[in-house]
Amino acid sequence: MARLTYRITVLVTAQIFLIVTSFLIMIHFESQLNLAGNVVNVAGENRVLTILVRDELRDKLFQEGDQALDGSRTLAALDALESNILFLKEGGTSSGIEISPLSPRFEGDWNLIWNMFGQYRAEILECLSADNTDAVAVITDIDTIKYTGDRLVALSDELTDKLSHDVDVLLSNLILLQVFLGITNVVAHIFLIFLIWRIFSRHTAEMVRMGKITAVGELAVAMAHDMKTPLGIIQNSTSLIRHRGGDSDAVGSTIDRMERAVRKMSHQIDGIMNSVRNVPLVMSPTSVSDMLGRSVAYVDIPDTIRISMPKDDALVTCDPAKMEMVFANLLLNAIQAIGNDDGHVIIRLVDGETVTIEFENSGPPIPASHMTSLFEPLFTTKLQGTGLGLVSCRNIMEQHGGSISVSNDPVVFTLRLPKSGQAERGGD
Amino acid sequence: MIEIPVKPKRILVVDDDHDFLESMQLLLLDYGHEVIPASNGKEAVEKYAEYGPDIVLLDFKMPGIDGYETLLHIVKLDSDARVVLTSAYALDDAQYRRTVDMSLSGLLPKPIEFANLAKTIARHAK
Repeated sequence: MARLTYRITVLVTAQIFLIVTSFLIMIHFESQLNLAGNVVNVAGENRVLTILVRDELRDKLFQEGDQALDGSRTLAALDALESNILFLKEGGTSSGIEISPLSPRFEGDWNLIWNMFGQYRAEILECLSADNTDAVAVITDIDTIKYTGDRLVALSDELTDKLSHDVDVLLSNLILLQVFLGITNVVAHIFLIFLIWRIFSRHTAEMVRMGKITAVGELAVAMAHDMKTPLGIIQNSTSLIRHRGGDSDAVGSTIDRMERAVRKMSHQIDGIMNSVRNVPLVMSPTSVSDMLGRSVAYVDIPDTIRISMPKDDALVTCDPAKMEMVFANLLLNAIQAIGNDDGHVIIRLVDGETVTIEFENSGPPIPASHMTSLFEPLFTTKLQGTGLGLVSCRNIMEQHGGSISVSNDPVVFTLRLPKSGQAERGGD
Repeated sequence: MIEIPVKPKRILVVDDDHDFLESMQLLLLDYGHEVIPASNGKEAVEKYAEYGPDIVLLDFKMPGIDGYETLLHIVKLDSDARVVLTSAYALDDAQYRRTVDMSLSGLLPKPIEFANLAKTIARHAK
């Protein structure tokens, strides 16, 4: 469950990151677009200001008497035009409008405007300082100024058009970016939904399977009492026959076989029982060496396989019957893994706060594809396996507050058991 | 054949399975013990009061009062009662766990190997 939560968290975080990044990119482009739009406005204003200068000059020249103007308004309009042209080049903030410096690409255009402005200003200043009594000269001056003004307006318009074109390109790029980010987000969402669906469906399948296992387990629990009682009757009866003199060779060996069969059946039932977690532990301080000894005695060990027992011993508080079942299971698995070849099983013991017991066997390594499924219910590669052996081992170890793990090449199953017996008391 | 020397005891065997009860009775009788059979919890409590056995072999899942209730009644009659639970698993987990905890003389799940049974009787019977 924790892994599932982790994966979903990663996916959602990635998605949030994508959305925030898209948003920031959009904000950046929007502000670029605003700045570019402001530049267009400033360039466009040149036209208005140029005409304003001319109008102010005409007013000054053709007003009479007291209403005659001193030309200061013309000069002010000229200054306004100059600062607007400089503002266009240098950038900055004026009346709340922020513009960036003009791109070097437009420097040639700006220089033409600046030169033309210089000529325009010179002509106007000359006209203002000249003697205005000669009407013909004034009209000639006005015509010259008008012509220069028109060229200045034309140059400004040209730059405005070029800047507007830039804004258009920027705008269409922004639209393309929006579409791209939109599509990316949709694809990411679909991918996310797909992943979440896959995780959940896998998890659900696991839950369903676990549910089935639990159902099978409960059925087994219900059947156990009834199955163990007839086994108990057979066991009692064989003991009785043996006690009443059935120890002649023929009868004795038959009874031995019956008792082995009873033990085997009982073990099978225990295997199923231990794969579900509702079997309480009966704890007592026990010697690991004793338990190992009993487990080894329980398993049929072929002559070709050598078992190496640990020299040391440790005392642990555990359910000895259950722990012996774990040992026997691991031993049996090791023997089956070695098969008919010569081989060995080395059992090691490390005493400490946690007692570690290792079962190493000389059999072939476990295929990588099997490693993750080893402790899953019903997973088996054996013809007669129940697929419950290692599940039982894990359940028993976890019930004891311990663990079981496996490493490959050589194959080593490692049991870790708290010495003081911290058994889980809460059943499922 | 290994003959396990035993000191005869009075044993109350409680199980609702007639065949199990009979096979256990025959076996224990063969070893010289006195056996009081009871096929349910109520009968077990009555026979405990009547015979005062040295040890009780008690099944858990029985019709009527179960092993836990039976155990409570027996302990009420005799605080020094020796009770061995012969049932390994039960549906009612919590109840079973309480019974295991109370059965101070231990748990001997069926099928019971006679050597273990003899050892338990020798160690725990009065």
